[in-house]
Amino acid sequence: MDKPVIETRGLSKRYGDVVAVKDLSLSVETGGVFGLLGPNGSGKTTTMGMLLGLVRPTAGSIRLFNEPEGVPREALHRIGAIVESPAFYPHLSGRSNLCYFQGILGGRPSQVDQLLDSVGLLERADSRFSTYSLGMKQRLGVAYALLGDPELIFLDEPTNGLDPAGMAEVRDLIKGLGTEGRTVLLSSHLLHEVELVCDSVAILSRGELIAQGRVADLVSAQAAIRFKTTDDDQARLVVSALDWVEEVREEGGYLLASAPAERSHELTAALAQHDVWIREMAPVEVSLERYFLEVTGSDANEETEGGQ
Amino acid sequence: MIGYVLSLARWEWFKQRRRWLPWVLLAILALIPQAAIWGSFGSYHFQSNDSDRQMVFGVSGAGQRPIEAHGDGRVSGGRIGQIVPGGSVSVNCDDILSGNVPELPPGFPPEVLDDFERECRRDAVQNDQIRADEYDAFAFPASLGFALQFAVGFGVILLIVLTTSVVGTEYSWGTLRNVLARGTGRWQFMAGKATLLVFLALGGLLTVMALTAVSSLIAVSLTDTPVGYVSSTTWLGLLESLGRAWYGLIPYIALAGFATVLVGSSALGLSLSIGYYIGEQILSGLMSALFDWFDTIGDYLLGPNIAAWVSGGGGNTDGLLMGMVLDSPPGQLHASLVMAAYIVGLSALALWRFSRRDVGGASGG
Ligand SMILES: Nc1ncnc2c1ncn2[C@@H]1O[C@H](COP(=O)(O)OP(=O)(O)O)[C@@H](O)[C@H]1O
Ligand SMILES: [Mg+2]
Repeated sequence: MDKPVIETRGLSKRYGDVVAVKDLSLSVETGGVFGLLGPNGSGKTTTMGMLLGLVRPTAGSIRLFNEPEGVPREALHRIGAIVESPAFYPHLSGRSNLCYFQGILGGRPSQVDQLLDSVGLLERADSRFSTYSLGMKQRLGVAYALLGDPELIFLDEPTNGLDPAGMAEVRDLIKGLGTEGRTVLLSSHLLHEVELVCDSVAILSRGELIAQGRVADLVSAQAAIRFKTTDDDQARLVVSALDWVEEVREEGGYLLASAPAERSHELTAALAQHDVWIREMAPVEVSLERYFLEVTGSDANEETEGGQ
Repeated sequence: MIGYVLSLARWEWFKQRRRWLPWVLLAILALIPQAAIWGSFGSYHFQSNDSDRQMVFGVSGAGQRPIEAHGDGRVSGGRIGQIVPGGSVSVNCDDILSGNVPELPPGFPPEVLDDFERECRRDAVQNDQIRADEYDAFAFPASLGFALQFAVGFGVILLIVLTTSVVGTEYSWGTLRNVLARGTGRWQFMAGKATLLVFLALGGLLTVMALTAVSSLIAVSLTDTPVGYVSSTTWLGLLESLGRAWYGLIPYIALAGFATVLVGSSALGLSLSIGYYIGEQILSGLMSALFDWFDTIGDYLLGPNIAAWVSGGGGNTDGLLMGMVLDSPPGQLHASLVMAAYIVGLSALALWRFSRRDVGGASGG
């Protein structure tokens, strides 16, 4: 991995008494999909707004593409973004909207139809934006973000308000975007969306960064092995002594060891040495969800809820 | 840099020309002056031009003085009732001027008739002038100049509506985020809008002129030219009127643009601009009536200066800028400089404010 494509230090935004983003130090590597996860009002949109020069930070610094600090217009030319909701000119067709934005970006060769096709809007390209369904609006937003083939793409809750089929479609689209050296910054209040789509994630709660890392690492940190033995008391002592097991606790008549499932055979071997024998054993599939719930105290899995 | 702003203005037109609003406003702007043209035509064409002066020669009781009875009912030299029945003769200007001299009652001094004839001749000249003026108001090309002045008067309101909408919808639709997030220059974007509006104002005035020209040519062909009519306008004068009208509209683009950027909404921006426009007139009328020193301040308000400027120092500001009363209109140089100061000042404030402001979500305003 090269230098981070986005790097913030101590980034803060305060609206009067409301602290929207607090002392955020973020680092996004080039390539792949980076998730910005947090419940509504946690500061995702404000963060993106600051990265795009739309919102002035109260404090802190931003560095894009490893260039000098700040958000110069030249950097924004390399970013495609759709922030908050997909907002376009209601009286113009989808095609005219994209033509307009392509025009003010400065006459690159026309790729509008190709983009409309890639998001499945070609058929309705000549209908007015105001007649589009929410799903179509979101997809036009994605097409707009792709205009000019940017290196970095910001998508702010792009699946908001979509039905499950639409969500799946847009998620597939996003996964594809993260390849070919492009970086996607995806914000979401849906944990399982981030797990599905993102490579790395930063978790925000009330404007503060509470965790950041690769999704796989965060998930494995939460992994556990559940088992029952011939002598649970003895087993507890033995397993706690293993340095790769974080903790052992009892839950519903089972022992639960925080450890990746791949090491279950080592666990078995260690117990066998002490004459303790496994009766039952199963890996526990832990998602980020539990962690997320614990740290943010919010229900992150309500797909129907519209984010702010 | 200028090329970039012009390109943004061109793309702004790409958006605006697909909306209803500019076209509806243009229709209002162009059609209202036509009503004025055809009104002048009607009063010229359908009303008689005869002098209403009439004289009744009679003898009043004791002094045997002549009694003059005018067509409008005024009587001088006595009362109508005093006229001796059978001994009076009624004469009107038409008779006199066509040499139809009546026989006067006995004992009447003949110079009375000469006096009356002189008055009739003076009337006729005056009447020709009135007729010529009436004709001038709808005859090509002078009509174009009047239509322009007239159009500026209410065009100001239309332009304020258009400006606040062109700027404010970017906030209410939330499209401003999309525009700026891609690195479009902030002040350049607004300057592009302003440039488009300045040209739309010119386009509106040219449309008024074109439509008025058509109306004029039709109207002229339907009636007679008054004797000795000379148009009050030259082509050069017309060009000047256009320039004056155009420049007179620009401060309101700056005003409405500033107000909208300040509050970030079309509706609020519109209320603020119209409020200023009307408030300035009410306040200046009231204050200058109450305090002498306010006249000096009035010289630096937008309305009086634009009224003076657009009427070209002619002082004829009827129907202009909602009847701004000009006791002593500011001079032309003064007016043009004050307008320039407003344009530069308000634009600079608007652009400065706009380039610093956070751009949030759709406000629905
Ligand atoms: N323009 C604003 N004025 C005042 N408060 C704001 C503004 N924008 C956002 N906030 C507040 O900042 C916090 C974070 O908002 P936001 O960034 O939109 O969160 P998210 O996108 O994660 O839902 C919220 O409490 C919100 O009310
Ligand atoms: Mg948000």
